[in-house]
Amino acid sequence: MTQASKSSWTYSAQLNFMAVVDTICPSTVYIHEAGWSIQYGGIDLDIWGYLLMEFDSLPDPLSEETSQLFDAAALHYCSKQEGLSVISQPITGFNGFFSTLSREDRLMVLALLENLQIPLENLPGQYQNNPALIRNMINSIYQLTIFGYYSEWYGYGAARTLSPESRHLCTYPISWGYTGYPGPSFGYRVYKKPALTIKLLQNHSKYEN
Amino acid sequence: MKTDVIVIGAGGGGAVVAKELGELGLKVLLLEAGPWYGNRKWPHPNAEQGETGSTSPEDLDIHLFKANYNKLEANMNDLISGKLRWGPANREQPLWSRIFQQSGFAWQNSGVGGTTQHYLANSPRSFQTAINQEWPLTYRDLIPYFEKVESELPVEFAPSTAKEELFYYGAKKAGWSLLPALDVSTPGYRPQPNAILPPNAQLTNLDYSVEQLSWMEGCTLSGHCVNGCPHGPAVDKIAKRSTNVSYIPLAMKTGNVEIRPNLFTYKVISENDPKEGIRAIGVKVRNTWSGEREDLYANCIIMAAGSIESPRLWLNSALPYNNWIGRGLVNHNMDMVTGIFNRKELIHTIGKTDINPYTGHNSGARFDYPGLGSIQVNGASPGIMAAFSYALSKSGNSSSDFNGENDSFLKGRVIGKDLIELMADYTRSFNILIVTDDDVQYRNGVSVFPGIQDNHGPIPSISYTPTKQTLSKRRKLVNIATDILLHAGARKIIHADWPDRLMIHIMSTMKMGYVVDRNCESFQVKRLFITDNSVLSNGLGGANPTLTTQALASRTAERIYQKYF
Repeated sequence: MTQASKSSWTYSAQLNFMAVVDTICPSTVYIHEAGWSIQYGGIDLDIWGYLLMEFDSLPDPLSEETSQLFDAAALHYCSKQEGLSVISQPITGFNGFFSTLSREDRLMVLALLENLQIPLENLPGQYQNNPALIRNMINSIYQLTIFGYYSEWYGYGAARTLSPESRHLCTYPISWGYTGYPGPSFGYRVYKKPALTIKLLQNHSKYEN
Repeated sequence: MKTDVIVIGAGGGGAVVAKELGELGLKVLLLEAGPWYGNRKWPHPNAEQGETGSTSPEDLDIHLFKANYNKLEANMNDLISGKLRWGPANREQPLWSRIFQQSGFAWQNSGVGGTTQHYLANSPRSFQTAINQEWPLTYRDLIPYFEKVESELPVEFAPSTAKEELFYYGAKKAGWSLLPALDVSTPGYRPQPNAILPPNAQLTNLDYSVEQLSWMEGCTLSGHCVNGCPHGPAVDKIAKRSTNVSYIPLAMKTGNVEIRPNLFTYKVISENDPKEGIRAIGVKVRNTWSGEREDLYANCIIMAAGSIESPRLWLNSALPYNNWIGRGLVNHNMDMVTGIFNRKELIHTIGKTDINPYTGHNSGARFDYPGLGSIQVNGASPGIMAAFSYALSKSGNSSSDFNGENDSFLKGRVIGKDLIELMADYTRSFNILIVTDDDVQYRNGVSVFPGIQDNHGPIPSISYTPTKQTLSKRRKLVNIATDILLHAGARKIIHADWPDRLMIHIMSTMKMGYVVDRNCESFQVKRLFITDNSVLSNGLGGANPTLTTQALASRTAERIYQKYF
């Protein structure tokens, strides 16, 4: 059900964004007496495509640089784990390295970035010596992944790659079923009379200084 | 038409001052940088430039309005490409940039109606002590204007749905009292005073389908406040009273107000008059579709561009130096606490198995504590709920093991299987928003760096670090919220511990008494007024700012008329 979204993204950017989405919203298998069932994860619901589109819609597109940042941080993390000296040169040639790490290690890499425990001077593009941008990006990764996953995004189906203005729901947003959200409504007949009305107040109280 | 007054920004404050001045017979030009949803002159507001301006209420079209406000949360509220984002109408163009010196974001909407398009319509009065001790005005000065705005919007106490009932139950058991008042001076809980029409009287009448009810007057408790309420029989009768459905239609009815969307004001034009001194005489604007620039002139200029853009506009306009421009920013240093409930407990407390936090007003109950701030019930669609409850934290990812001993209290982000389990309980959960009485500090605010600019000049750079006292108040409010949730029967509490710079109520960057006088006129530039949240002298003690800003805007309109016309 994953949809290849846009050809302009490098293969490594696609891998790394799939990997980060999988870290936050993995697919899960439930085993119960009657058998088993699957809850699709962020990769299945194309949330990585959503993230890539969002990062490329910023005033300065960030998808490729963010992917490179993940790789740089992953390499730094692994070097430290192995007790190797900190890499002092700009890193190239490790495209998609982040995606090869385990979920636990990917989480550690995100934490490393968030806590700025990485030399900032060798980071790619706009991230170089820019702690505020790194922190904003990490917060956005969590926020957008979780928002995208639980919103109607999956339901846009083939319309996902269109401009926001042209998108329309093509299918049922699967994650609504995971939460019990019935989708937009015209109303609910759950009316209870308010305990307090302004008219009631005006009859009973006046401002006292 | 000869213009008497130009208003910059058609949001919470600008729409009010435009309507009041229009009623006084002045010719008003209301400029808005974003789109206009629900006006025939912009049938495809995000895809085509449309016409230049609109003056007649006949242009408002409920069918168009409903087609645009389609209640889907990503379509409406996506921060980067949503209809209600902070950016130009054309959603294929990027957002308008801000720099955060220490990371953060400001949740604002462009467009006619401004951020009231997605506000929860919470319209409490400011706390008395917050005004009387720190403002050049007294609380008593504001009361007639509170009353005027409350009756015009109108404001009414929110009806209860399950999340409100549960909140009252918990608050009462925790030992707090009901506060049956609009004027707050002691702690207590109460229904939110909301700018939302009372529920449709036929809501429980099965002779009407809910779709029919959504075309009638009155709230249908559909729970779409934050994603843009589209329910009502006409644009000016929409249930949630964002200014695009309340003050804007009223302004148009005066016949004296022209509203022009898609125009970004990037400079105030001033001159040195031999008698008055430096005074504002006009503005420079840029069309966000065509890039065309224009100079517009009037006898008075009113900034209502919001607490980030108003100081930016001043700083980019080469107006006289004042070291308080942009300074003193407060944002209520918010936080979020979530409670998860069991079916069995819910049956016992509210007689239902589920809370269904997506029903009713998105925020229908509050607890106020002068000196600390307030806490407010929240419920929303699942994407927004999950993002604001589980994705944002300054304390990293939650480390508690769900199967361990300490599984009833979590702090921090929640991801992976834990997130999936919590969201599987979405219908049995609700949130409490923490709204802290935030200290005004000179160091916090908005500035510009000449080198970093977009099409509208140097962009705003925002800096904010809370005081120890603010953080201490926030912790106390988190404890109160947790206690109320536990007394209501929550089996699990998740404290998000939001980052400090997540800004929703942005205030006090052009403070009254420092930048503007009691009438909201600039001390240094005559005929230049401000009617947005930036003129508030502080964070109102922790009350949501819109009503107070609207009351002040209403008062300012009278003063402008008296002084200059």
